[in-house]
Amino acid sequence: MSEVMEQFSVSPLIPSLPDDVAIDIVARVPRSHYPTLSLVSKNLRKLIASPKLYKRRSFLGITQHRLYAILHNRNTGDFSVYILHRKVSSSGNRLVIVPSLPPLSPRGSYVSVGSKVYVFNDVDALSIDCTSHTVQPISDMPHRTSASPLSSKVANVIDGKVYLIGDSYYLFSYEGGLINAKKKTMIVLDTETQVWEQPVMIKHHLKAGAIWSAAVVMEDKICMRGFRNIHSFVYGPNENTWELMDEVLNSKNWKGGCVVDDVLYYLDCSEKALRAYDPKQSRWSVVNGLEEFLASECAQLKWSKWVKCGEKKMALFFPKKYVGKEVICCAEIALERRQGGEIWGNIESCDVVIKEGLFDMVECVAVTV
Amino acid sequence: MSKKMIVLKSSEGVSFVVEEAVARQSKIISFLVEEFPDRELPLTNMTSEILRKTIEYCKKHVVEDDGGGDSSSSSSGDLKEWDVKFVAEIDQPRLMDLLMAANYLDIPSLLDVTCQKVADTIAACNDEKEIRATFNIENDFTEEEVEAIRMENQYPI
Repeated sequence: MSEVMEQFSVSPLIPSLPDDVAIDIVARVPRSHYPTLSLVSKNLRKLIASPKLYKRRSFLGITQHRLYAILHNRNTGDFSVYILHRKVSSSGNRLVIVPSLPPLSPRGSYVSVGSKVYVFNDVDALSIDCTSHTVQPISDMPHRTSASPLSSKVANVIDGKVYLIGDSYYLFSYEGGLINAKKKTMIVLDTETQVWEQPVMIKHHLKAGAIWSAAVVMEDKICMRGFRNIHSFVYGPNENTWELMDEVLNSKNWKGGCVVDDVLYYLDCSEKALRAYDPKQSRWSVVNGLEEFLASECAQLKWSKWVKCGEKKMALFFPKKYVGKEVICCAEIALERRQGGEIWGNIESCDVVIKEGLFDMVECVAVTV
Repeated sequence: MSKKMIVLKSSEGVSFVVEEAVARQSKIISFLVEEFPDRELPLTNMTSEILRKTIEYCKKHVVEDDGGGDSSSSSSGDLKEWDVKFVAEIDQPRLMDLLMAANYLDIPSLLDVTCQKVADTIAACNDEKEIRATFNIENDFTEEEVEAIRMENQYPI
């Protein structure tokens, strides 16, 4: 704490309080109030920008979910990181570009672990620290040296480990000669140690080239659904098991869905319903209470993306026509499980989050900071 | 068996007789009691009012361990509710004094609830002017600087 004291010792952050107590207080204030706090005094402004405050927040266990979106700007061609800026006043949430982060590769896969977003490109990887909005490269991605990029990959996190599963080319000897063949490959990054696990695993029994349209983690297993429900697998890293996907789970196209408390949710656009799959019962149900919202807002959706953004809370990103323009909306939905197992949803907010320009939503992730 | 009592003295010289177990929630008092047994402990930077409040809090939170098993005075849910009411009834200047007392006497749970209450007070302010007024913070920005920060704040940190 002495370092902190020195830095702010000229005048106290809050008169009559020691600075370490004042930092504890500011750490407990919800982040949405930080822009206002930074206008109070020079010292408070310095504190709000200081990593020490965020370390104190995580030490006290005070973290909040923040949503990020990777958007493709159709005019410039850039893939950039946007943050969902929560407005304190009534003007609503909106997506704002994070100016300190560089444009990203169009072929990246994204996952979040704690306060970081991990970006996996074909031959390299990086992490974005969301407390400081800075980028660090992750060195020695196994496929960097083999010059065989990992393509069509899905990235999922279980217990702090990122599992990347995709296609890669290998040289095999075949009838006296060498052939170049595509194989399904899994590489694993331990985010605690920032070390890639060795060796890279080649999955000969999986069909190479088969692309998964969606992948989620449920009950510590990675569920990968193939297009037109073929080649759908479930991988359990704990026992290193590969299984065919449960037929009931495989029966719906849950692209864009997300998992909250081990239940998978996705938007069934044709039926205008939010469907939920509970692996314990191996059955689908419909979330109640959203009929009106879905009927009016989601009439003809080309895409929708769900992301878990808190305890029993999800955010839905979807496109909409708004005064003749194509815009992106975000709705926040609280989930409630009632007696008898019925799930109810409640719309907490729904805002047009980006209206100027033409954008495609590449991915959305939630981090805790 | 009679309980061991200790005496705490406020800045006005008023003596408070408190059960030792109650007072020992303060790590400082706990230390002082061991170093100077059977002595009055002068708390010269604490008014009688704040000391009374602090003792009230400690009495509520004491976990009596006299071999009788679970004799904690309240369940944790009730305690939380009681804490919220306890700090809600205190006005801003006294809340700051109580927070300082918790900090000085090293009573972690009281420091927690008072810090949280101050944080809630900040969050309840409508703008930076109200925060400055509530906490007597001097505005050391020029108007131009405020405008520049406002522009910057359109982007999140």
